[in-house]
Amino acid sequence: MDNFREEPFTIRFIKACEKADDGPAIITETGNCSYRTLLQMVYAQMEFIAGTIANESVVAVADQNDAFTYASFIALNLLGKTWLPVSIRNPEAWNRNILTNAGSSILLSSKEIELKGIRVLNTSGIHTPQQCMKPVSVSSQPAYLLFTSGSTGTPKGVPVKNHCLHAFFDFMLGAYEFQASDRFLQIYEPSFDVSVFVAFGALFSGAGLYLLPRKKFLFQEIVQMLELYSITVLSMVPSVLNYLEPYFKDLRFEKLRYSFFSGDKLLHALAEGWSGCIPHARIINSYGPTETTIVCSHYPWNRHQSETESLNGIVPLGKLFPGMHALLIDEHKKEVARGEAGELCLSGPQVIDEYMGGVSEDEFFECTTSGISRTYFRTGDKVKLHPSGNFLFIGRTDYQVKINGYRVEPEETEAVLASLNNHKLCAVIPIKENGGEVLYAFLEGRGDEQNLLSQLRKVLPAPSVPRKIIFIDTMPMNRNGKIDRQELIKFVK
Amino acid sequence: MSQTLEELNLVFCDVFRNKALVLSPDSNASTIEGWDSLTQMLLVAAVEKHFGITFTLNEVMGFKNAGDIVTTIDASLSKKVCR
Repeated sequence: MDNFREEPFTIRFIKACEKADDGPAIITETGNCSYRTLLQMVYAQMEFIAGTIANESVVAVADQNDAFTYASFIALNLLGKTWLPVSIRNPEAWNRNILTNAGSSILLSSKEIELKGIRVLNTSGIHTPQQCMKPVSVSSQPAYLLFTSGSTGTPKGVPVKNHCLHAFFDFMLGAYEFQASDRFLQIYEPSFDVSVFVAFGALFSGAGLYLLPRKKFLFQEIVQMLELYSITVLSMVPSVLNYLEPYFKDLRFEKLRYSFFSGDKLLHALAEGWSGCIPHARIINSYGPTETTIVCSHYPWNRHQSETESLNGIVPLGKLFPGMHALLIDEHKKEVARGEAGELCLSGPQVIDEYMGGVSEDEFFECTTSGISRTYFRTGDKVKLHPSGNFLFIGRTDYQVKINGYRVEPEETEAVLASLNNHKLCAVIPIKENGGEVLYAFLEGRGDEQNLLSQLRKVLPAPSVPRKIIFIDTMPMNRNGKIDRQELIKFVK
Repeated sequence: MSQTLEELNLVFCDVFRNKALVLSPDSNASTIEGWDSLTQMLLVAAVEKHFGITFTLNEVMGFKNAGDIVTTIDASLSKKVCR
């Protein structure tokens, strides 16, 4: 099968280097690293890894937000090994746990760090290769291993193979016209898989990858970088817009060409406000769980079409990438009728085979449709298909609750509450109480609870109105910038 | 401590829920626990409300410490008086 080639996907970087040569590859606060220099670092690290830790199949890499870190990812991939990104900002015990679960005892780092029980190898001095090592032609190992965020429970190791990444980049690099003159802004840590799109979208195109300094004020840093470096390609989680929104009237980024969103639901109202700041950019909403390799659907936003197609004010998830196949099922795992809402299950070249260690409960299943048997991944996302062919997000299946016999979608309440409250960050969560479940709403900032509840009662059926609205100063976020719902539950307990 | 800094101190105590917090002009994100991108936005909104002023984005981006905020508040308040 052509789609299932296991050649290291970063081979595309070596090809890009032939053209880009002296062009800037990675740009940080401390300076530029050209394609030629980065390639030398890659070859040097390949020699070092092959000579020092040849038998290790999974190697952890400390995220030091520099060119050495990205050189480690590429070198490991070209040698047919798996990289495991480790955020140095995480608690040490958490990182040690991740390495243990992944069976990795080696950590590559460009700066001195200590991790008890782990052998740390410093990569900062490794930049002069003896020769140009040949990459492996086929790798049976995953390209990278990520752990799903803790917001839905116990983290699971998600191994993503090279063929999944080839399928992703085959489509993305064809669908979007990235150029060597582009400047990509990397705001994500490598443990968030969309960072792989940003990094290699740039490095496979001969473009510049600008690394956001990890300072205290993320949103201000983003604005400063967009202005200072005339960034042309930007990917953000939608929640960033909530914080930029008060300043939309002051913001104008003439050079931006692409503004990608993924990771959470994008509100049409915010996208519309943001569009005024980026007059020459295309806004693209994209969707995909980590298990389906970065993202696997996209929706080119436009003011008029998106307004009519948005559901509960949420911009559509869009159409699936070629080769991906969707199946919408009900709670009995039966396919729903066309146009009806159901849980989105995905099959195709971007879907992983299984979780690390073969652990999988109910997420992967075989199903035959139109005479073809496929393995599907259950996303847990409830969607429906718009007549335009775009998928519309309704909510998470695992947050759906029954209250007094009525089926309630907390996301619906969330959408209404957000619209009543100037689209400030909010979350609505079912909480077990007196043997049943009730909704609790959490709103960032301050407000009049009784007034909001009375407005909600005017537009929602009684079971969908929260029992209580809790105002909190700062919405807890997980490392990927998504609302941490587990943390919110603690406010009630 | 100037009057503006004293009032700003009250806003900080409220936003960071820390009644014992004592501001100096040099207080910054490294010296005040919890002062990050998210609380920065809350802080800006609370300061604007307390003093009845509106900051521009450039002003907010220039805030490196409490002293910068005081200077900007005083300038905004004097503009209001002049009008």
